[in-house]
Amino acid sequence: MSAPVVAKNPTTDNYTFPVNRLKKQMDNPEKTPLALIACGSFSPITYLHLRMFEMCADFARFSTDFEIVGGWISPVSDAYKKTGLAKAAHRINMCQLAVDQGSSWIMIDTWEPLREEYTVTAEVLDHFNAEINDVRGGVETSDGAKKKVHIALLAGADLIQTMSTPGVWAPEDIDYILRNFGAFIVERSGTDIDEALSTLQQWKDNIYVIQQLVQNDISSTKIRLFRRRDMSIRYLVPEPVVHYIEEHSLYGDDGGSSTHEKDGKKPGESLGAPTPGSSST
Amino acid sequence: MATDTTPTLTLDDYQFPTARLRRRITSKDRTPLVLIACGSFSPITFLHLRMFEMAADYARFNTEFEVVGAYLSCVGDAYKKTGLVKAEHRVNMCSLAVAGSSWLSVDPWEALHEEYLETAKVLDHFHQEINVEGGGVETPEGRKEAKIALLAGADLIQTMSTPGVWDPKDIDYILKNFGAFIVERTGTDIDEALSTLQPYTPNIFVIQQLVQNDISSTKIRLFRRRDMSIRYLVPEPVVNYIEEHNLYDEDGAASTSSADGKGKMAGESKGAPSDLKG
Repeated sequence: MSAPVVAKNPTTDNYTFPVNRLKKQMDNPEKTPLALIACGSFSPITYLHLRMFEMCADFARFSTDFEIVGGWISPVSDAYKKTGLAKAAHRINMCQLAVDQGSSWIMIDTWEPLREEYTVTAEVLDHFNAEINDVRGGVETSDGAKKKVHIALLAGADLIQTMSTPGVWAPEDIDYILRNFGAFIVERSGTDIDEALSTLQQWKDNIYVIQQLVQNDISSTKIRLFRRRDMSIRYLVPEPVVHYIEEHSLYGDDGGSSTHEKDGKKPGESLGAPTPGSSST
Repeated sequence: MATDTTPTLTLDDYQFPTARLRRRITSKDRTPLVLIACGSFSPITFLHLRMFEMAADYARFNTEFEVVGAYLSCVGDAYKKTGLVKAEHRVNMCSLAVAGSSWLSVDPWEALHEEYLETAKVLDHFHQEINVEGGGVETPEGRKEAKIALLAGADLIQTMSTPGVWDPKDIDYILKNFGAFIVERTGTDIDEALSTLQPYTPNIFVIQQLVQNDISSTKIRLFRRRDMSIRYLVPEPVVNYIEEHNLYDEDGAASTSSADGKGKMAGESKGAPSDLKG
C-alpha cells in the first residue's frame, strides 16, 4: 500500500492543494457543482467518517440538484488541544491510509493541520473556496464554460449541535459559514437534530439533513476508549488504520502492550481471540 | 484457504476446517471455547465480524473461557428466507470477509446440505468434529472438551422466545448442552428476549454493544435495490463480489461495476465524483 504522504517536517511552504481526485468536468451542466469539506479531529478516522461521504453522495444525487465534484477531509491542527488528539502528522497519515485504497474520491487536505496556529472553520472554508474557485476558476462543464463550485461543510449532527450551544462558536462565524457556504449534516444517534437546528433556522435553506438509515455510532472517542481498555477496534476503522495505530502505539494506556503481529494475531484483533501457533493441527 | 474461485464443493470432498483452530491452551483454569455463528449472512457485514471481536473481548474479561476457535456457518438454500442468494455465494462472501482475520473461519458443512438442518444439529456437528473426532483441546489441567457455543445477535434469541418459531426441544437442547453468547442489538429488548429462557440463563452470556451498530443484511440488500452505497458497511472484497455477481440488484438491474471505466470503486455512491479522464 502506498506510503503516507506527509513529509518528515511538513511546512506550509511545501504544501500543494490536493486535486488529484477533483472532477475535471461536470457530467450535467444543469446541476450545481458541490465540494464537500469535512472538518474535525479525526483522532482516529473511522468507518463512520467515510460513510458520511457516501451517504452525502447518495443524498446529493437523489434529493438535490448538486453534482459532487470533490470531497476533502481537513483534520484540525494540534493547536486545538482537544482531549485525545494524536499529533497532526499521525492523524494525517491515518486519514491518508484510510482513503488511499479505501476510496476513489476522498482527498486529505493538510493545509489546516500543518498550521501552527488554530484556524477557525470559516477560514478553512475560505481556503477551499479560494483554491477551487479563485485559483482554478471553478469546474468545467461539458459546454466548455466554468462554473463556480459550491463549498459546503459535511458534518455529523453533533458538530451542528455545538453551533447552537451558546458560547462555543462565535456568532459571526456561524453566520459566515451558513450564509456563504452551507452544511450537509448527517444525523447521529444521541443528537436531537431538531434541537440542534433550533437556533439556526434563518439559515435552514443552506442546511441539508441526511438521515442515517443504518444507526451507526462509531465515534473516535470510543475507539480511543477501547484502545485504553485493550479491546478490539477491528472492523470499526479501516484495517491499515488499525495497523498504524498498533505500530505507533497510539491511544494506548501509557504505552500499553501492542498486540503485535509477531504472535500471529492481526493488529487490533481482540486479545481474547486465539493466537495461532504450532498448536493448530 | 477458501477463495471465491473455489470449485463447487460437495459433502464428499468436505473437510472440517481446522487451520485456525487452536488445539492447546496454556492458561490455567480456563475452559476452551469455540464460537459458532449461524445465520443467513446474506450478505455478511462488518457487524457480523464485530460480533466475534466483541465476544472475544467479553470472554477474556468476563468469563473463565478461552476462545480457541470461531466459525461462521451459513444456512443452506433449503431455508428459503427472503433475500437469500445461493449458498455458494454466501459462503464465498464469508470467506472473503474473514481472509484477513487470524482466527475466524468459515465452515461450509451446513450450507452443503440440500435439506435444512436445525441449529441443534449444526452445533452437534462442531462438537463431533472438535471434541469427539478431534479429541478436544490440551490444557494445563489435561485434555478438555471445548465448549461449543452459539454466537448470535439478540434478534435471534428473540425468535427463541417467540412462540411457534423454534421447537422447544431444540431450544432446550441448544441452551442446555451448548449455550449462547448474545450481542445486544438496538431494536431488541434483551430482557424481553430472555424472559422465557430463564432456566438457561447460566448458559447465556449477554454482551453489550458499546458502539451502537445497526448494520443489517436486510439494509444492505435494500441499499443495493435503491442503488445506494454499501461501502464501509461490508468489507471491501465483499462489496466487489456483490458487484461482480450482480447480487441483490432489483431484477438484475445494471451493476455499478468497477469495470465501468469511471474510476469509481465497487459499491461506492453513484453520487460520488468519477472521472473518465482520470
